[in-house]
Amino acid sequence: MPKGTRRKPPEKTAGGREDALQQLTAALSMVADDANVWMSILDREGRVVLWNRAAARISGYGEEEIVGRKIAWDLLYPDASYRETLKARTADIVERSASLDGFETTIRCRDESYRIVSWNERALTDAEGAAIGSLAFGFDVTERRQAEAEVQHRAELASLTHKVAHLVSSEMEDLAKLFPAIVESVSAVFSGYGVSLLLIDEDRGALVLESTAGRGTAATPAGYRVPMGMGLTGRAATTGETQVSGNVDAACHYIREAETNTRSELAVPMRSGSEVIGVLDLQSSALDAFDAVETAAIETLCIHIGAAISQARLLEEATGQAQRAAIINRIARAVGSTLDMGELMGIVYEGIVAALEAEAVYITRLDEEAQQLIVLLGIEGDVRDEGSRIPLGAGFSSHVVNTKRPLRIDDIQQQRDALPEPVAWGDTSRPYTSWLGVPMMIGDRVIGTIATMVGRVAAYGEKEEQLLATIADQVAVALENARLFEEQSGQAERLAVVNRVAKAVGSRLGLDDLLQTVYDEIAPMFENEALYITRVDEAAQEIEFLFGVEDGERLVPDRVPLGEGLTSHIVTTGRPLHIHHFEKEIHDVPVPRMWGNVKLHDSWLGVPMLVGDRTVGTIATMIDRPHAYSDEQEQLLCTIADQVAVALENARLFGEMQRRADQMTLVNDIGGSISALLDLDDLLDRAVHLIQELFGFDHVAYLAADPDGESLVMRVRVGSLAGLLPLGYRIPLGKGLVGQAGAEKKTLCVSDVQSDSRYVNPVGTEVHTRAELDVPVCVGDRLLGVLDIQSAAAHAFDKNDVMVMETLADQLAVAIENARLYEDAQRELSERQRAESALGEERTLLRTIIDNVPDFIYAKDLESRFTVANRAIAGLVGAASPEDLLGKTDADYHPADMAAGYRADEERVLESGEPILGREEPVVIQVTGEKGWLLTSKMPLLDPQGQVVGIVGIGRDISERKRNDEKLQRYVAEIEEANEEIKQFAYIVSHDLRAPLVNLKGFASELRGSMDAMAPAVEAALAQLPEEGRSEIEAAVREDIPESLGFIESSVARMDGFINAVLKLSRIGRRELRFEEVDPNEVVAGAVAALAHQIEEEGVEVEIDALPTLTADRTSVEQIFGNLLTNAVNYLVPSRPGRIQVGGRQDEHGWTFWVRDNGRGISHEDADKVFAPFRRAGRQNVPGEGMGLSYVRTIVRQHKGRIWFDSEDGSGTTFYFAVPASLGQDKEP
Amino acid sequence: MSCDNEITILLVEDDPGHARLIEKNLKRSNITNCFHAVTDGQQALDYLFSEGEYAGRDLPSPLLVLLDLNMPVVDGYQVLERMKADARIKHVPVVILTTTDDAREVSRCYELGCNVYITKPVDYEKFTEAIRKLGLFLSIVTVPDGE
Repeated sequence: MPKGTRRKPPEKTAGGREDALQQLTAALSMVADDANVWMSILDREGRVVLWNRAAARISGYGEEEIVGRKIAWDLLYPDASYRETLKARTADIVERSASLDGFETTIRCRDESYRIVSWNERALTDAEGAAIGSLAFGFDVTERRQAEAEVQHRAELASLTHKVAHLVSSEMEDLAKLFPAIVESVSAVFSGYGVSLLLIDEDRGALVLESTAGRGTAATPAGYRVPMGMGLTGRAATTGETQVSGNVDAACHYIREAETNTRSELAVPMRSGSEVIGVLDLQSSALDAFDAVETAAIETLCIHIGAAISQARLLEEATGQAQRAAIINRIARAVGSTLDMGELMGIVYEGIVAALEAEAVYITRLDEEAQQLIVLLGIEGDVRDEGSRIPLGAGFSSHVVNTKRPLRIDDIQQQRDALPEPVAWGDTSRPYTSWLGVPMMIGDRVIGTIATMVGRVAAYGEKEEQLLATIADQVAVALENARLFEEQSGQAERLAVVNRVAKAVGSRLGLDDLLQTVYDEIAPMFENEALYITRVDEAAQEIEFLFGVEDGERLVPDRVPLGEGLTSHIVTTGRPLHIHHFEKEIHDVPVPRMWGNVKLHDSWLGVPMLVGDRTVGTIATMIDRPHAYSDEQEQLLCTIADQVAVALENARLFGEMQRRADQMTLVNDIGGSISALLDLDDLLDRAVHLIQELFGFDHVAYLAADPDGESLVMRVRVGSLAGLLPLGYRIPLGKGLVGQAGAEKKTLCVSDVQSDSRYVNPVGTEVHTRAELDVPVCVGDRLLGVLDIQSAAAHAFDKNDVMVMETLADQLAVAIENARLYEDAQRELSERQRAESALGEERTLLRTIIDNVPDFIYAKDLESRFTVANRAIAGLVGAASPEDLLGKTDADYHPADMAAGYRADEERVLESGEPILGREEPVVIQVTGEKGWLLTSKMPLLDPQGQVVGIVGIGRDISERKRNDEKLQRYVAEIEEANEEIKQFAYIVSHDLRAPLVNLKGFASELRGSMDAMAPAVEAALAQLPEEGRSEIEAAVREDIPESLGFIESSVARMDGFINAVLKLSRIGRRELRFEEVDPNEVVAGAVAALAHQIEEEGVEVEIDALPTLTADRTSVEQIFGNLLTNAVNYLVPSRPGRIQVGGRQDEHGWTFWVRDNGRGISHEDADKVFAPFRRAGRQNVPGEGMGLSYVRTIVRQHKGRIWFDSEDGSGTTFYFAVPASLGQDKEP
Repeated sequence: MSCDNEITILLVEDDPGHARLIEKNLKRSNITNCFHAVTDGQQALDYLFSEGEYAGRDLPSPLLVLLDLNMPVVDGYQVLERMKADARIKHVPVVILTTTDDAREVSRCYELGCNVYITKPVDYEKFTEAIRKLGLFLSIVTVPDGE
């Protein structure tokens, strides 16, 4: 078959099969990956014997540099211990005929990249079974493993954030444990990376390394400092933006600290609220080690860690404050319960040491008359001092006394020039660095100092100062008590009161009880008609009336704004207000404000409650009698007020601490319970409900940022407004408080929405909202949503609430991001699984199709080794299963000459890249040993780069068809031979028959000549004959002999006619045809003209259609039409006018012509004889030999055509003949 | 048999009837040459190559051969071929006288080197006429000498 024929659309073949084949061919190219099998053979010494092109392509090492040498091991496995392990395995295979399947190793390729290869390894044995080497098939699974590792890594990332979230919630109380745990967790997921966690130090000058793990981190110890702004880490801390570099040597901010091999670095800032507090830093020795997903995951982690750190710090602080509160409480109790100075000082000293880590403590009392400070207690190491006197003047303590203000020194040596001259006393050889001293005050009078010092820079801050001041106040009260006790024994009763108050303050933390006690103690002494105790709410700028009694009736607590009025005056001035006679002094005092139905009393005494110089409340007593209170009473009330102040402050601190600790616990609970939820809806729902329930807010909602970036959408809400705000309710960013918080990504806390112009009532109807707190929920710079909290009470949210909710918002952001990451990871995993299973199904489908197609389908590598084989071909070569063929070649199965032929074809396909299509080739079916034939197509197999990597072959067993073809050929030959014999026979017979005829005719003529010569003599002789018998002889001579001769001659003539007819027929059959364009119109016209005489005479009507020109032998066409027309004219019937019609048509197959007459027709019985030689049908009234239609049929057959007729006896006949179109094109005679 | 003409005519004809009729008609055409008839190809070859029963005899010269084609044993074509392949007798004129008028056979004979091809018609008058024309031809033909 000529090349290219098969490429035509297969309209003639069975279309479905062909399509299936083409599809298979296309599908097979997908299997190309699997065809890339590494094959190598090592001999016993480890020398490479065989190294195929796949091996060369995967490893990069060409056959020429590997084969025959032992270097393959060293090249592929540079690590010696790894190499020895693998060598041992191969040795095991060779020595013990073990085998290896799917064993994966990592090889180093020529380009120094690493690839993972999955090995199947077998021992090779010689004929005796002795091991001679090993054969390895390798599948390059690098991409597959990388993809798996990638998926694994993503899942690990998702679980990492989860794990860290868990760590954060479980380890938050101990940062010292938390940091290493986080770093270890990150390091476990990012194996091969160095992970460091650094925190910004207090003065924000540097990052301090807290914890490290992983590669190359041993060199940098904890505490290592990185200046802010320096390197990628410092830059991340300064800018608050993630710093990532795929190639640190090219990054302008990278600073190579030591000889590290870091190539990629990722530094992510950690935040507490909006403040950067540290950096998580990852380093890798690979280039471009961090992708966007990993970066995002680490950023999420950092949000988590940041939230954890800020929480932990808050907790630490809260714990510290609670401790201090307890110390103060203990001191207060001691002050209240003991008048023994020594014991009191001991307690104070212990408290100070515990709270301030003091190395030295001095408590002094001012002796105003002597202008000296008396050391009440001085402890410095083992040295104890009591009673020393220090002249007032220079020195830190004198400075405190003079200024009446605390003095805090961070570094005595550094600040020497700016400090007052220190006074050496006691053992001053100790190098104290930090010094803190506070005055002890009664009213505005300094009565002494307390100082503490330590050998550490900047050991004391604001908090320590406050604490010491509070302690000082306590001690001052105690000292004053003692003084009063000593100086004014007459005032014992008052002192007892003070003492009782102090005791109450020390023993009761319930504020109400305390105040009642205070009242009970004060009332008899001051004989008052009304008494008020207030507290200052600095945040709200209000005065809170905690306790009020008027004419023995308790008043309901209330709040009034800080402003004018008597109490406000005291608060503002921090000094007592004593009105002796109201009416007289009315113009000199502030305008009083009414509380309840308070009437104006003549005497009014109010004193501030001071903590340090801060007024925390007031106590006022009044009576309807002028000049009711003395100065002593004023002083007494001041003392009591100080006591109460301490109690109030204690209660406030304690309450606040308690609340804060509770809140932190709640925050932690919420964080813990939501961080475990991975479903976003559950998570939000849970979070909002928890916040509402645990904090008791009126309304809590979460509005998610819409992807359009322009609005917030209500996702979850709970509380009093839930019914008014439908889910899906939208608020444009920037509108209202919620919208503004979202747009600016800043927390908004409004104490009273009714006086805030930004507030928008979302529902129109009246809502009870007074205070609103809106906290944006962000991941880095990205807004996720807004947490909206509303309260029906104004001033419902304080700084602490804001901080707690911000912490929660951070937690929530982390949890949301977690859920999202988890969903992403899940989705990606399931997509990948789906893709993989689809690929698997496709392969199974393909395999099933391939295996069940009766055709032989296979693919081979460049060396013609099978890489794919189906069951059909396994059956052909006699293999048990298709797998047996893999790696083998045709030479393993077929006779050498055939295999060589196949290989030659395949080499040609591989070299030229041109397929061989539809090649018929011999084959031996190995199972039966029968010879057969294959119809084979071999096509080049291309890899994705278009490189020829093998061939794909499809073969079909056409033995049966071939056998039939051969049989057919034989039959045709036999028939042709027989035909030829017949022709020869006719010819010979007709010639040989002629020879005797010549004699018959010749000698008959001779006889007649002899008779003529004898005639005169015979006539004469006859006359001589006797009468009797003469007539008989006469008859013989004159009639019988001539008659006999006549019959002989006429018979010979007829015989000659037959012979000539047969001869003519046989000659027609052998005549060479000359094909040309013949116009049958011309031919028919000629034939009609030849019959013109007869036609005219008999009045025949001849109708000739326009006939199509045909390709044929002109003479033949003339003879056909001539005969048919002659017949038509001859066999007309006289009874009706003759009508002859000639027609013809052309179609794709050829031409058909017909000659139709209305003559006598052909009877059914005669139908068989019509085309037989010497046969004439019907009445023989027409001259002829009966050969015409025989000739015509022979001629038509010579044209590969067909002749037939339709006829009805008596009504006419139509003769048709058809000539195929392909004649004359291919020159088959 | 007396021979007026010096040319000897060898008639190769397996059908004795035909041979008789040819001889008769030639005589009627006043052809009086020496006449020798053989009945098959083998005899003709023996005669021509002085073999077999003709061994030792000289071949008469000049000589003309009237040759039939369809004969048993050795046919006319073979005789013609042998004659034309032999230098000694290839110049001897050969007249094919046969019943076959097939064009391919005619051309084949001319290719093999026959001089005249005459068909024996079945019609006796035509046959007589053909032989008479042959006689005319023979009477005027000049046959090259054997040497």
